[in-house]
Amino acid sequence: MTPTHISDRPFAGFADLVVIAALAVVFGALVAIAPAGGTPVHLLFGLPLLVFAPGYAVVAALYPQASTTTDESRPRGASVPESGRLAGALSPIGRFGASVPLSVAVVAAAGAVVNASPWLLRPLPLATAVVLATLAAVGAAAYRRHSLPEHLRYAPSVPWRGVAAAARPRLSVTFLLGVVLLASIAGAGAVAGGYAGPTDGDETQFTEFAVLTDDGSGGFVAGNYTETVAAGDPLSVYLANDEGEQTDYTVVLTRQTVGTDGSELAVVDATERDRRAVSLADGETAVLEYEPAPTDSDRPQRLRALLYRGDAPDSPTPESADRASHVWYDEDPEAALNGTAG
Amino acid sequence: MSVLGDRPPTGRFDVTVAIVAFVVALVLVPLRFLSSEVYIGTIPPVVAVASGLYLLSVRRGATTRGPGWTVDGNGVALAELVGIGLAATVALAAVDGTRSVRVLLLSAAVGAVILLQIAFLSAEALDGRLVLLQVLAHAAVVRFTGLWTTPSFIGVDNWTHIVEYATPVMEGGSLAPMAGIKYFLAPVHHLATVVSAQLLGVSLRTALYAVVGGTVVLALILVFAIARHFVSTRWALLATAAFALADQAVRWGLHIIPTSLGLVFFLGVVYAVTRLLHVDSGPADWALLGICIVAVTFTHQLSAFVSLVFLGSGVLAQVLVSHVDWLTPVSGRSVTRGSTGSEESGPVADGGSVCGVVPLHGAFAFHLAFTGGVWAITPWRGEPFIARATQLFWLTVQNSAGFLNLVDSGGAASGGAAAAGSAGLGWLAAYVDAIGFLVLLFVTILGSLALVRRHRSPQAAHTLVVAIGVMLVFAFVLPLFGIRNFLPGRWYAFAYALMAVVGVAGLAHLGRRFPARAVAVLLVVLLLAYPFAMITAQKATLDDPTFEDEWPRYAYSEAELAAVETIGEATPDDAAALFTDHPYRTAFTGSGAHPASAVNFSRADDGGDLPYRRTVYRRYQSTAAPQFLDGSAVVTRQVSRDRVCPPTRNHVYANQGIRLCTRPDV
Repeated sequence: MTPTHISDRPFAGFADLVVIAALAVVFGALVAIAPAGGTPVHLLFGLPLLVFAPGYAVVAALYPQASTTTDESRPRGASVPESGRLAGALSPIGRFGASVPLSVAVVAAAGAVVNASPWLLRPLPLATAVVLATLAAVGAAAYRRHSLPEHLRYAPSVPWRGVAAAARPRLSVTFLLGVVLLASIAGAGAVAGGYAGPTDGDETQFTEFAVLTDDGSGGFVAGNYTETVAAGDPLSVYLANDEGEQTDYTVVLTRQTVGTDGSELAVVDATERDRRAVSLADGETAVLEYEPAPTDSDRPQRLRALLYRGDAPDSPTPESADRASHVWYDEDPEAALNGTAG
Repeated sequence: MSVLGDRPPTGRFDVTVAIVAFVVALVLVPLRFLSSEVYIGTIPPVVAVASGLYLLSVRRGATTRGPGWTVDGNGVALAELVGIGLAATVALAAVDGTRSVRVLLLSAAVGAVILLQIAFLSAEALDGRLVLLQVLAHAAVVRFTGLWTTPSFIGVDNWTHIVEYATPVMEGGSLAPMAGIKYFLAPVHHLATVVSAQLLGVSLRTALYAVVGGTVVLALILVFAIARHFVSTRWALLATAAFALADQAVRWGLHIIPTSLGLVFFLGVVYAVTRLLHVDSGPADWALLGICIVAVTFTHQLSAFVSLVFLGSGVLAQVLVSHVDWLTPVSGRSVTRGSTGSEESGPVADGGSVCGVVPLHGAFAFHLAFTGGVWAITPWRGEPFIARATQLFWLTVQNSAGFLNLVDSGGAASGGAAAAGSAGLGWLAAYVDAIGFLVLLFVTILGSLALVRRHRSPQAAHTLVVAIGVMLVFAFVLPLFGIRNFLPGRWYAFAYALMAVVGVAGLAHLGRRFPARAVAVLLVVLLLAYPFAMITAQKATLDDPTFEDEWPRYAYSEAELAAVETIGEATPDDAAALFTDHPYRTAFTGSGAHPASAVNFSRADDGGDLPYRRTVYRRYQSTAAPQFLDGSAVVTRQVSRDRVCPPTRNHVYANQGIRLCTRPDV
């Protein structure tokens, strides 16, 4: 390429800066049009702008000269500039590497500037700051590059032919088949996993089950149980379906009178008070009210709440239930148990 | 020449240091009887072997030929193999829903393929750009499979930085909610995350992972750029891959907090200094250094301190190289440029011109003044950061410092399995965790001795070696005396970057001094052991530990996270703290659900009952590696559900294995 050709094309030698500036302007316009973002287009243009472009422009402004042909491992003082080259220039790898931290620094600095301004950290002011910072760096880079003699300027070129030639053998049939095979296996695995349905071991699908009390202001708290029971107010059984699908439940509520068998607790009397079927859509919650209705007894009593997916057995137990909770009606069941032990 | 070669030359700095290191290491070997800490038992032998090997190497003449162990393989085919391996890793992680042990082993195997092709492919078959791409792709897959398969955040501090700090900034549109905390003047991480989330229109978590996480991966290129000033392309690639695979580097790619960005800017500082010491630099290089210093200062206090230590090491190296002639025996030689530019010669060879001394004290003074100035006005619990940090340091020195005070070292050897004598698989976990570091240390010692003797920029070589030494003092030696104010566990990643660069210089040195077959065997052993040890190490598997009974899992299931939210909502604001295991307690505090602490079993009464009003049990406490308190000691201990949630308590919340238990009178 001769200098004559370069001067015939106004953007020759500045294509990289034009691309960076265009990326910044396009993304700025995109944010102005759709500030809520979240679209693939925002990611497509935004990620390179945030991770690479501003830093690249700053590096281009700092190092306008062409990369050295000397070995980088050569020591300072030994790298004598060769014809048409400056020894202190960055290698392409160094240029790329330095661009990355500088980009995030510019993005954060843009945020700091907006924070110091009357505007809030919102898409439009932030996009303006990032775009202006990038364009300022691009301008400085263009000016400094233009100030150098043409043969000393950094002039990146994408070797399209080389890339195409390199890509052909590298994206070989073997490789593509391998990727397709693996994708198929992964897809089959995922489908198989999906059909397996929810299990208790799958912690991405779950049901929350709680016994709470009304806090008097429309909310529910995990507390005030004995006061609620003493006042004859209802206890609230809370269910939240996160199984990923509509799920049928059965809630079994049992009042138990408890004694001891050696060192273990033992249920001496149990009365099933309620058995309710509930069907919840994914993400839906339900609150069931239950009257605790304690009876007179020397032994401590408690509400046992059991949750089953689907139907409950005739003799429900905590072991057979999907979820089990209990709430004591006594403030100190341990003391009560000790008093009635034996 | 005999089999062992000639006698080692006397009076040489490298030889003298190697002899001293060899003798001191042998003397320290009995330390293993004073402590069961893995590193105390293993570091002295590693140092002894490495320095002994170096002494052996200097008896042998150097060869100018290229590496004789390389083979004419097909680099493109290997790249395809790596591509398929990485695709399989992603697929397997998707199927398993986590980075299971088989996912870890597969990604380690792919890492081994990358390392081996770097070491063994002939110069003609080794395409630097293609290999670098593989290294970056592998690093991205290792980190993003962890991030992608883990609900919410990995680690402890992410909750604080995103939920507690960045979220109010995002919602309020201002840094004002951070006023009064020490990150108010170190907000780069939070600003970068918030700005990215606002501009992309995504959640803070997505912005954090995509932009900051992506930056952490791409910044690995800087290691190559740094290493390229010290060694040839092959070894620079090896340094980059070694650092990318290192457990501590993976750690900060999974647990993305200000330390992660601090590491990125630290690499920028090292790169700028490396350029200043190697090439005909100009104002641009000083500007690059200045920008990185400012950026690291406004990102993370500890990272800025590490950067300051590095630059201080550079000044120390400058003084040494300027005033102590015998440190740089090759300086002043009449030399020729020789084959400097060839692929395999590199700078670690006899011959070549020696650079002059570059004054770094001005840069150090700027760093000290700027960082110190910022710290002087940085708030930290009502005091200037620098004043409080200094007070805490002196308090530690006066009150708790003592030799072999090893409690909670928090570093590479942290965790319940750090002691080699642990029961069960504890000893295996401890050694697996240590192998990667020991390999790195082994080659670093070799590289340090080789670089200070032979590198043509003695100042650069001494800077790296001194910096590594000082950083390992902060990471290893100060904790031995009970001084942990400098967060020793955070220093490893920074040191590893330098150790990877110096270490490959050590391997290159061995390659020139020993028969090709012996070097090949050594490389195969090291390059197979290293990726498997590093990828499966504790800090690289925070999301799903390899030894789940030994190492805490710093990530939570969807059910556990839902429980945090629901329990937080159902617990009255004025209620006392919840008690559960560590690290689960951090999910409660970090998410703002409710204050939470670790159960302290020393507070149980004679009947074993805990005095707490609200406790949270999860199945993990009976099956994995939960941490609790026993007095003032942190213990990793499995407990039964009844121990945390006895049946005489109300069991008021149930979700899979999770229970919220309350005292009946609350």
